[in-house]
Amino acid sequence: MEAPPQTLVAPVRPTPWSRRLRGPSAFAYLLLAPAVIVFAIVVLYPVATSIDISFRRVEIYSPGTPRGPLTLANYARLLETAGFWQAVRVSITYVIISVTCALLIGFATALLLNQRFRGRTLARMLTVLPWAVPPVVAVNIWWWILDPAYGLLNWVLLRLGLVAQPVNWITQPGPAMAAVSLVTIWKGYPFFVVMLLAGLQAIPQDLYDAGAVDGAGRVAVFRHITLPALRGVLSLATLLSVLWVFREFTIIWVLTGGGPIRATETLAIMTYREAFANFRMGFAASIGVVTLVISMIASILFIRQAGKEFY
Amino acid sequence: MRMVALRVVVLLLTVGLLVGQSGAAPREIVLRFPSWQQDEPGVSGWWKEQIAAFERNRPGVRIEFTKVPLAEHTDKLIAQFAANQPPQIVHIPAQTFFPFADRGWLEPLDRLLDETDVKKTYHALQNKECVWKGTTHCVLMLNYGYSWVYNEKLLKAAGKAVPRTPEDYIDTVKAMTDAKNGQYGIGVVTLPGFNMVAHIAVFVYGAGGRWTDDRGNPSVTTPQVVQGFKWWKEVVLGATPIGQESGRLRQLVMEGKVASYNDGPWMQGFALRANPDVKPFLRAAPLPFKATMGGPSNVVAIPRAISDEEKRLVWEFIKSGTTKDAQVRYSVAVGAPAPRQDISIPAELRKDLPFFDVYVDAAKRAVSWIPFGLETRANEFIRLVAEHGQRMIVRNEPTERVLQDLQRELEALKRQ
Amino acid sequence: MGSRTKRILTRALLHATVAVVVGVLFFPVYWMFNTSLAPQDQLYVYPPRMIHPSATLAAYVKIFSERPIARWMANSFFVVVLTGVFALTISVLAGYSLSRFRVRGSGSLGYLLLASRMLPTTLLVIPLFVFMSSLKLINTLWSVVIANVTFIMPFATWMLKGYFDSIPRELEEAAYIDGTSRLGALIKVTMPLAAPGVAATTLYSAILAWDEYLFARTFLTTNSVWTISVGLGSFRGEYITFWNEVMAASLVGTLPIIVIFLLLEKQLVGGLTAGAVK
Repeated sequence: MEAPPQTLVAPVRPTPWSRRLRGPSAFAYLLLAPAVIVFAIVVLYPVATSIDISFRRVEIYSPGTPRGPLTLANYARLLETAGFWQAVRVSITYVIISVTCALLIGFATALLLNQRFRGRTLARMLTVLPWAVPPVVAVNIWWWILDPAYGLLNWVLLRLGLVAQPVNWITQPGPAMAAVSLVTIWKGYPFFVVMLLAGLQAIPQDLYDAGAVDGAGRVAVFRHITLPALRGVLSLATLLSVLWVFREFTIIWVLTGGGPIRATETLAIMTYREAFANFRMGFAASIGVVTLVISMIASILFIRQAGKEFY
Repeated sequence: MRMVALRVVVLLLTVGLLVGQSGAAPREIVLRFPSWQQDEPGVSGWWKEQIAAFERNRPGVRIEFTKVPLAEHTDKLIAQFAANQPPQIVHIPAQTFFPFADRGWLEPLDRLLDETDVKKTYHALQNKECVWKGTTHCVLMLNYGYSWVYNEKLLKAAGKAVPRTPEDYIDTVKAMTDAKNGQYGIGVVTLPGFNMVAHIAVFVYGAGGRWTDDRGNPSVTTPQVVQGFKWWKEVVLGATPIGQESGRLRQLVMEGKVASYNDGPWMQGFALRANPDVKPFLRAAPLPFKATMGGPSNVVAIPRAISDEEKRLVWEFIKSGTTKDAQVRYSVAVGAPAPRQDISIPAELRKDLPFFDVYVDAAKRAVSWIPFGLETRANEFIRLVAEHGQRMIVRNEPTERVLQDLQRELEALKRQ
Repeated sequence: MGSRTKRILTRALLHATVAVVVGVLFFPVYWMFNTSLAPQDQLYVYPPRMIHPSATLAAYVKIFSERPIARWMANSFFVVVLTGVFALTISVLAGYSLSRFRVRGSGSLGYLLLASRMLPTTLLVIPLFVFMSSLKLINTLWSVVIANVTFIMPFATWMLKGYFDSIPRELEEAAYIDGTSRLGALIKVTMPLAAPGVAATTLYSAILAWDEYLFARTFLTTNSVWTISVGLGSFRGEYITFWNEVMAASLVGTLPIIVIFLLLEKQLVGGLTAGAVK
């Protein structure tokens, strides 16, 4: 507007600041500014610090003290520590068991709640409630149910003759993994219920009507109509659950502390233990950085595979 | 509509801020004192008396005595020192004193102690266990030995008498066990942490073993240590509810579900609170082993990182616990002799403490289970021993092989 | 068999299945409630009692007199309110901006916020601990408020962006024509329409902040400044712990969340799925 159109040689001038500050983009930046500043201070800067100390020999890091030269010692040590590979295995097992079971339970419950019956709202409320129960409380409840000597679960199992003696849920490696997974599944399945129920209700009735006209049976309708329609929601919910379970700290820390004999020590628990129990923060940071890289690679692969489903 | 929402937010904010700030009145000096003993029957009463007396004479000074579970205490304390915000009153198990002293986090106390008679009148451990690199950094609160506290009714019901040999002891606790009916012969802590290792030490030191040799090198493959671990494993697998911690185990003793418990003198305080049908039957007997596990129990210290005024106040508080009168009351509260040696406990104060004499004797015979040579790595040491102990009972791995692994890990820890 | 009978049978089967499924999934919450009412001498009794004939509130009385539960609840409340105000203010502005304007860098910022979901919290807590130490914020509730913003702000921004996306821009444009400023349009036109979304996001954030354990456990060392999460996670104590007391305290600590949840379940569920389901 300010440059006369006939001036062919006029340089492309950037919009003057005075103008930019008034324009729509200025407003957009102004609104984003607090988020950017806060994010930079409380997330980006700390992450950069973590990456930095993961390359240094740091036991207890305190600001202002000299940090020493850069070194790969932490990463070298990581690769040769049996505990690290054990933690990788535990993390993978834990994620697979917890997410698979939560998905199956959540899916089945969502299908059930998608039926029409009286009291559906109440049923939905009660089944989704565990999502809102604080993780620490979930652990306390299950800890009591799983108590080896006086817990309810052992009593039921003994009564049914499924076990010959009480199971030591917290102090045996296999049962301990089952115990942390159980709590995680109980906290995690409602997310699938909610997501899939919304997905189910978004499927247009016409599709089912068309299926009915074709004379398709229930199984066929499920396979050819319901499942394809839910794929997007299903993959997103799965990805979010995988990321959540992969980073989970509270449930494991409070229930087993990563024990017995590190049988439930995931990468997240190992990071914390090295940082705040053994006070080797540099080494701990290197575990955390590796965890971050694994999450990122998994997400990218996953999104590339399922990306088309989202949009 | 908008105004209403705004008012609600402002109200919530105000309430939140008031709630958040209401803890600290202005111009008040608060001395933080986190301790696992805050709710321990017996000794917590003594601390509270000391605090009340201290605060009475010093308006504007408050001691904030708060509970921290023993299992988390050392880690949390190290974190606070690392953050340069230690509590003013540092109360730690003697085992974990060294990591703090070694990092230079504790105030030297020799000059202050020389103005008192503590060095002269206290148990010899004061001048040994509180000294690091030639300088005293703590004041001993208690030295102790373990005893066997048992329920005589359950012992008789199993047709047994108080055991006199280790083998007899193992048979007895097994005989009192009936797991199907929720009855166990002994409580042994099997969840990793300080108490699990203390309970292992009962057997390892009982068999004449030591964590480290005279030169401070790990020595966990000696026949004595192997024997100790084997006894421990047999007791754990045959007579104890696995996966319980000290709190619940002591409670089960009070309810008559667990027939006996290895513990220090503080068990007296718990026993006084037992169920009415159990209390009259609780007795203490010496452990039937070659050596009695014990040594220094817990100590108090002053952090370097606090102000001089706070240091002075904390010292006055610590000093008030070292007087003859305070030490007599401490003995009664704990149910065992306090570290000050030039006192005697009047008989009428002892009559409510049926275990007292057994614990006096135990403290005399006790051998310290501090792993000399590895003491500055106490928290990692405890973690390693607990983890290897678990391998024996959880995976049933051969004792000798696990101890060889432990030996290697401890040698690596020493080299670090 | 008549089709009517068949229909009734199907109905009955459906109801029975629902009852069993809901019963099993909800049972742990009931068990917490049931145990909290148990008298102390009924705790270690076989067979376990499904209903306590001599139910008592003794455990509740005891936890309030012996542990600073009220204090912990108040601390959590403080953290929740401040985290909410702080994170939501920032997120509303950013979410609106991301929804309405395409400016250079806004796309990357959006992705960055989304990607922060992958950040292991146990990695973040190490530098944050150092950061809080240097600001002398360890052992104060402010440290937890600041740390909570790290995970609440990114998710709230995205959730709110989803809500703003669903509000037609034409309304704001109409307001511009009437001479309203951009900020004015946001406040007067868009916000009232987005209010349910903002409310849902706020409650969601409140639940996350109430439940938070890792930061609070690491930064708050003295039990007088603990949040309820840390307090409830500390029952693995050393001395005497009775299950009825642990369950009573757990129930008290869950109650505010359950109340929010029961009253606003629909909105919360809407919030959870916002943007994810199209």
